[in-house]
Parts: sequence; structure tokens; C-alpha cells
Amino acid sequence: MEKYIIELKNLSKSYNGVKVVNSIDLKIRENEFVTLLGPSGCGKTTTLRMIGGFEDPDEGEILFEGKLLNPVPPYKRNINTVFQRYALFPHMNVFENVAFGLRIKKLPKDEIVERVERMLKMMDLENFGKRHVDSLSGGQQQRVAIARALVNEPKVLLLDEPLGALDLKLRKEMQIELLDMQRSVGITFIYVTHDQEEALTMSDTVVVMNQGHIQQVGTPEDIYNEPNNRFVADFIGESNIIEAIMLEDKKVRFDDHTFDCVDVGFGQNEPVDVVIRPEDLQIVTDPEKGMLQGTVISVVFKGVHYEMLIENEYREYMVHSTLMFPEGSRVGMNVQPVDIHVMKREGHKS
Amino acid sequence: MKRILVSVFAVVVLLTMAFTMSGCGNKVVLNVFNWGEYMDKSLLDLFEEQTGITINYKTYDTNETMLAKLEAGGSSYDVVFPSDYAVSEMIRKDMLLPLDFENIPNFKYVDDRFKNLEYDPENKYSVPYFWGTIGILYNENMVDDPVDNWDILWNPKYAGQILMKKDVRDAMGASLKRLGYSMNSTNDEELRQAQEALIEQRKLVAGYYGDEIKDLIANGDAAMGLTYSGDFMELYWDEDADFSHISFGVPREGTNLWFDTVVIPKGCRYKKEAEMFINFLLDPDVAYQNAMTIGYPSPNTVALERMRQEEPEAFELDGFWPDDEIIEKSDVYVDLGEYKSIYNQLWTEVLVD
Amino acid sequence: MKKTAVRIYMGLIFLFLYAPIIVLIVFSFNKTKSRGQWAGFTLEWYAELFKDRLITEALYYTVIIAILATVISTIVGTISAIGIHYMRGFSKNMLLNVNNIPVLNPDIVTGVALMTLFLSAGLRLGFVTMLISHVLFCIPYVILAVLPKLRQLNKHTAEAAMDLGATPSYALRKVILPEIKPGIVSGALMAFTMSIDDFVISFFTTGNEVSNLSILIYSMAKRGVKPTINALSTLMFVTVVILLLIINKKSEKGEELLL
Repeated sequence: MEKYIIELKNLSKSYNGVKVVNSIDLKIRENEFVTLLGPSGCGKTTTLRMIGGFEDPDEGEILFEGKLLNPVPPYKRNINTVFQRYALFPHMNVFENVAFGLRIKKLPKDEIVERVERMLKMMDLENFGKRHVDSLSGGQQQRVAIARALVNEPKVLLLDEPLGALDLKLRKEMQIELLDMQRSVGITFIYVTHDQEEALTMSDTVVVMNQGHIQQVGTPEDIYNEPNNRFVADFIGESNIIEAIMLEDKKVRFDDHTFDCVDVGFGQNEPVDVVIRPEDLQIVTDPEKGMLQGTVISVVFKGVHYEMLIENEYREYMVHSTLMFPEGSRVGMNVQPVDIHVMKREGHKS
Repeated sequence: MKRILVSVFAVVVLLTMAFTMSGCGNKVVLNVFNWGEYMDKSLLDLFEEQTGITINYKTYDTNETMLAKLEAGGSSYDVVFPSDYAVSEMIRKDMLLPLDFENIPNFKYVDDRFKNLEYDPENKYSVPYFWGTIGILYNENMVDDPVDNWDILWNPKYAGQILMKKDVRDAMGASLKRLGYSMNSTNDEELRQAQEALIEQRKLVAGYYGDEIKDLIANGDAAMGLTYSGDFMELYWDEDADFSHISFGVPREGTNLWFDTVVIPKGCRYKKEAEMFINFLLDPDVAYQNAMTIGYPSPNTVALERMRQEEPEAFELDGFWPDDEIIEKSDVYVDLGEYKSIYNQLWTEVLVD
Repeated sequence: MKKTAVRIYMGLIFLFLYAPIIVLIVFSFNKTKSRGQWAGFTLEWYAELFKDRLITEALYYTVIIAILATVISTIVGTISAIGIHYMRGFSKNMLLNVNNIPVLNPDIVTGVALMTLFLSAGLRLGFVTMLISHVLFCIPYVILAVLPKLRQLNKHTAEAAMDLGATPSYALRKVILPEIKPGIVSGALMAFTMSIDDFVISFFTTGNEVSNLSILIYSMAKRGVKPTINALSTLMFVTVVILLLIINKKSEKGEELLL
């Protein structure tokens, strides 16, 4: 049996009659980097706050190493949190901020000094101990917040949009730093973000949430390549989502064309959703050689590739290609069977 | 820091307890309620020494304040010092206890002229404390006419140099007296004329003030102003500054004679001791010392004679000691009853018209 | 050029603000009783100040009431402010408005209302009723001074402390209170000042035993305010200035002041 450090069972929470978290189940392994991903209001932060102990669940259980965590107040949980906008203590200097948890544990003075200094060194904040936290840059404050949490050697670290306040370049750097840190200290990270790219870059496991429900749990690759439903497909990266009919196993029909695919197990003539990622559509200059035909209506240069919109009589397709086809040109499009991803149509019973 | 604060707090609490506890016990405590700065306070110590009675001395600023406090309840007073009209109001409202003059033998020293006055016709409730007049305080360097009549306040020669007292009784009283009427007039026609005169006077008046009149005249900001004789006496007794150019004129037509009195209000817990205190105040030695401190003429004949020997010059002044003839023609304010609101109405019209 | 203009403007403003106090201080050393004339230097009024049993008694009660009212209202007000801050929605708005009413309410209404309440409750007017009243009218000012500091606080600060192992009371003492300390101190100072200079409410809620300086000074109106009061005001002004200097110095050093 696998060992889970955190288990959520049938967890629910409502505010003013609105269910922000709706009976979710989740198991988190030790040393895992788990990201809760979803748009704002999806319940990801509430879930995190329930794990941290700042919100009481209405229903359900939170287990920590197999033991019920619900009645344990936040200050007795072996879990630490990095808050949105850090919530550093402005009246203390950097050293005192980091030492805060250790002082509560009444550790000997020299041990506190040693551990804080080790942590500051690890965070590249060696000479910042005496600095006032207000005098630090956003990235430095971020690192103080992480140091303040990690110095307590928690089993689980909760991070609530920790990079949200940073600019893009710094955010990328910090993503890598955070990942390195997680690998080196070997503790479980539960990370909340609404940025799908960040989630895909950093996580071992991504949990996609929407409207209080978990939509999909999986590795970044699974989530990206095999979205469970239209919401996940739409939220994770750009994609073409097409309403189609599953004629039979491995045959799906849309836009007056029957495509080979790899999906099986749907009913005959069942309405389904099909996802095709923009980079999986290949453009051919001769429209007759493509499975689909269309006209290029816009071209945007994106650096590595061109993003083009190609219109046929049913819809517009977004296509990424390293080759540029001018606006107004008539082209064909092909797609490999493995790149056609068929999903159950939401609200449809087979 | 914390320790300092804790100790400060502890001291405060202890002191509070010490003070509030001291009020308990069987000792008699007389609650005396007087005008501010209106008694030589060493006399309180003297009384306490002589009798063993403790005096809790509190002060007020106007008769109205004192009346409000008394009527509100919640605490009791044993001796208060209302002015003439306030005495009649208190009698009317049945707020006073009749005095037992057996316990106040020193009442015999009170000048007979100041007994049985209109505000307490049978002299059952009150004993006079101090008295004085209202008149015209003026700067000799700025006024070259004799200041012995009310007309001078209406003299266009002094336009912009005249200050009027912002007080309904004093202003209306001056106007009534100037026209030859009583200051307590309840004749509508007389009142109308008095009001008209005040409206007419307005263009000459530099401003309507209360207690500031004394300082404005003393500083030379205006030539003359209607005010109490007491204000003049303050300046007169000031040994450190030279106010020899400031004088006080009391109009020959007669003026207001004001009395501040001593009474015992209902609710008094120690009437006998309160009467002892009143008797104490009428003792010639005490009355003399008090009058010398306050600087007003004492209604106590023995004390007054001593003052006359000590300060003969003061008795030459109208402001301190007006002629008998003036006193004869003067009025003591009485409670106007229903006419109080008519006076107020007329006076308000003067101010805002 | 611009700088000089700014300096002159500042100078004028300060002159305007402090001229009355300077005049008052100067006149507290004036030999004569009357205002408006200088008759030589004297310390007589300062000596007389402590001889006058009414003034010393009123001063005593003023200071005792101010200290007690400040301490009590600061504690109660700070706790209330924290409570209000963490409330939500309708009840929060309602409480905030209710809190503003005593501040906006004319003192005379508050005073009369309190007096009526005390009398109908059968309380004897005196030290206790006056203290209660002072505590009551000081609390809203403390709340108003503390709330903005709480709003400035990151809303997760208390949670961050608890997350790091602090019990709620430890978080309150070591994190929340130090953070909002400037608000508490200014609230306390405001309470102290309000208490010291209150006349109207004190007047209505005290009885025959206790009176404060405002009531005493006001009662001197008819016979003229004596220079002893100038001397007393000078002493109080100097005390307040010294207090402020200490507070500024302390907060510069970042030392713990009140807690």
C-alpha cells in the first residue's frame, strides 16, 4: 500500500450557502509537488486553507499521515504556509521573521541562530538578517517568507500563489528555485496557482479544479495531452475543441470528414468533444491533400512559431506552425490519429 | 517599560481608593456650592479647624448652571450661593429650606437695608453674601463727559466705542432705567420703548460681550462698557498694574442692585451644620477677611466699618460704595415669571434684527 | 525662492497654531491678574497653584480620571477594534456606524443622556459615574485610531503567526499588537487628551464630590480666570510636550513602549 501524507475525504465547504469546495477527494504522497490549479473562485485556496487549518471544513475529513487532522488547530499542525503577499511581520527584521517559529518552540539560542543562518544562506539572504523586511524587493520578501516556513522543517509546505506578485522574469527564476528547493529539502509541496504554465512546469501532480469540484488529477503530461473534459482542455493551454460524433471505436466524424483515432469505448454515434492542440495540426499548401480545407484569416508571429487562424465553413482552427502561410491563402490541414483526443461530452449520458 | 506602567497603574488605583474611602465614615461633610473664585479659601480651613466639619467645596459659573445641577439630582448640596433673581425662582419652585435664625445669631450684623428684599420679602430663606451694582466701566482718557447717567451709552459722540453687556436683564434693565421705568417692568408699552431704544443704540455699539468687557476696556480697546461693579473692583485692587485711568460710573437715575446670597437647598442632609457655616460667614472677622480678599463691599456692618478704616479711598468710589441716593432709586432683580420669555424675545430681536 | 516661501508659510502656520499657547505661557509669569498688560515677572502663580485646595483637588481628579479612562478605554477599544476588524458584512458596518455616533453626537446630548441613565439606575453621581462616562466617550476614539492600523495589516498576518506555531494569544501579543501599536498609542493619547479637556460630559455626570479642571476653570468665568490657571495650563502643556517627545524618541528607537 502506498503511503500518503495528506488525504482529503469528501471535503466540503460553503460560504453563505455557496459550495466553494464540493466533496473533493485527494491523496497526496510524501515528497510530491502537487499543484491545485484553477480559475479564481474554483476552491483551490479554500482547500489549501482547510489543510492549513485556517478554515474548518463543513463536511469531510483531512488525514495527516493517516491521522485525523480536522480538530488540530493550525499552530499544532506540522504544516507551514507561504501566504499570498507573504504576510511577513513588518515590525521584525529578516532574522526575527525567520526565527519566529523557532522562538515559539523555545529552542536554545545558538541553535536558533545556526538554523536561521543556514536557512538564510540557502535562500541567498546571508547579509540580510538585520534588514527591515519593508526594505526588501518582492523576490527577497518571497524568499524570506519561504525561509520562515522551511526553517521549521515542516512535513508539508503550503504555498498560496507565492509568485503572484512578482514580474514575469522573476517569476520564471523563482519557479526554478522553488523546484530545486523542493528537491533538495525533500518535503511535500502543495502549491496553489491559477497559472497553468506554472503548474505544468513545476508539478509532479496537477489537480485541476473548477467550481468546487476536482476536474482531473494527473501528471502535467496527462493533463495536457489527455484532458478529461472540455474545461480541462480549455483551461490547460490553447486547444481546438470540436463537437463531434463517435461513429464507432477509432472512428470519429466532424466537419464532413471521418477521422481515424485511437479512442475506444464510446457508444455508437455518441456525441463527443474532440481536442486537437494547435501544434498538432499540419498545414499543407495543396488544399486537396488535407483532410480539412480552410482559408488563413490571421497570422501572428509568436517567436518560435506562427499562430494562425484557419477558417472553414464550420469553425476556426488555431494552428501553430514554424512555417508561415499568408493571410487569404487556401490550405489543407492534416492530423495524426494519436493527436485526436476524444472526450465524453459533458452532460451526455451514454 | 511594562513594569513602570504596572506600577503607575497600581499607584493610581491606590490613590483613587484612598480618596474615595476618605469620603466615608461618620464625619459630617458639608457640600458647599459657590461661584468660582468667590471665597477666601483659607476660611474653609478655618471653619474645618473650628468645628471638625469637613467642607466639600465645589464651584459653578452661573445661576443657571447651579440650578440645573440641583434640579438634576443625583447628588446633594447643603449650602449654595444664588443671586437675587435665582433666589426668587428657587422659592417659587420650592427648592429652599427656611433658615432657622436661632442658629444664625450673626445675622444681626447684616445691614438692615439688605434685609427683606424683593427676592425674599420676609427674609425666610436667604442671607446676603455680597452685593454690588451694574454701571459703566470707562477709560478716563477716552471719555470727557461725566459718566453718571445712562444716556452716555446712547451718546453718538462715542459711536463704535461702546460695549454692551450681552445679558437680557442687564441690557433691558439699563434701557428701562434710562427711560425712567423699573428694571423689573412688566408693562408691555415700557418694554417696547426699552427695546426700541436698544435697537436704536445698536449702531453705536462696538460689540455685545460677556465677561470680556473688563479686559477690553482695561486694554483701551473701547471707551466704555456696561458691566458689574465687581469687574471694576478687580482692576482697582490689582496692585501690580496701573489701572488708575479706568473708572466706574453709576448712573444717578438708579441702577440694578445685585445680591449674591447664601441659602440652604432642599435635600440638605446637615441643616444645623449648614446654618453653622452661614453663621460663620457672617462673623465680623470672617466677613471682613472674605470681603478684603474678594474686594466687594460686605453687607456686614461691622466688617464694612473695618474695611472703611482700612481702605477709605475705596469708599469714595461709586463702583464700590454708591451714594445712598442711588441705592434708594435702584432696583433688585426679581424673578419675572412669565415675563422672562417676553424679555428674552425682545432681547433676541435686538440682537438679530 | 520657492523654499523661502515654503518656510515663511510654515512659520506663519506654526505661529498661528502656537501663538495662543505662547501668550498663555508668557502670561503665566505676569505679575498682574488682568490680561493684556505686562507688569513684571513672577513665579507667584505657580506657588499659589499648589496652595489652592480647589485647584489641587481638581487637578488630582482630572489626572486620575484621565489615566484610568485612558487605560480602560485603550484596552477595551483595542479589543473591540480587533473584533470589529474580523467581522464581516452587515454587522461590521452597523457596528462601525454605531461607533461613530458617540463621536458625532453633540457632547451635551451624550452628557445629558448619561446623566439620565445614571440617575434612572439610581447611581449617585460622582467619581464612578464620571469615570464610566469618560471611558465611554474615549472608546470610540481608540477604536477609530486602531482600526486603520488593522486595515493596513496583511490579512494573513495573524494566520502566518499561528501557522508558525503561535497560539492565538501569542499571535495577538507578539504580532498583532506590535503591528498596531502606533494606532493604540495614538488612540490612548487621544483618549487622554479627550478626557483631560472634557467639560460638558463631565459636568453632567459628576456630582458634588468630584470636579475636574475644566469644570473648575469654567466656574471661574464670572469672576475672571486667574493667572494660576495660566500657570496650570502651562504645566499641563509642558507635560504633554514631554510625553510626546518621549513617545517619539521611543518609537524612533523601535523600543517597546506600551506592551
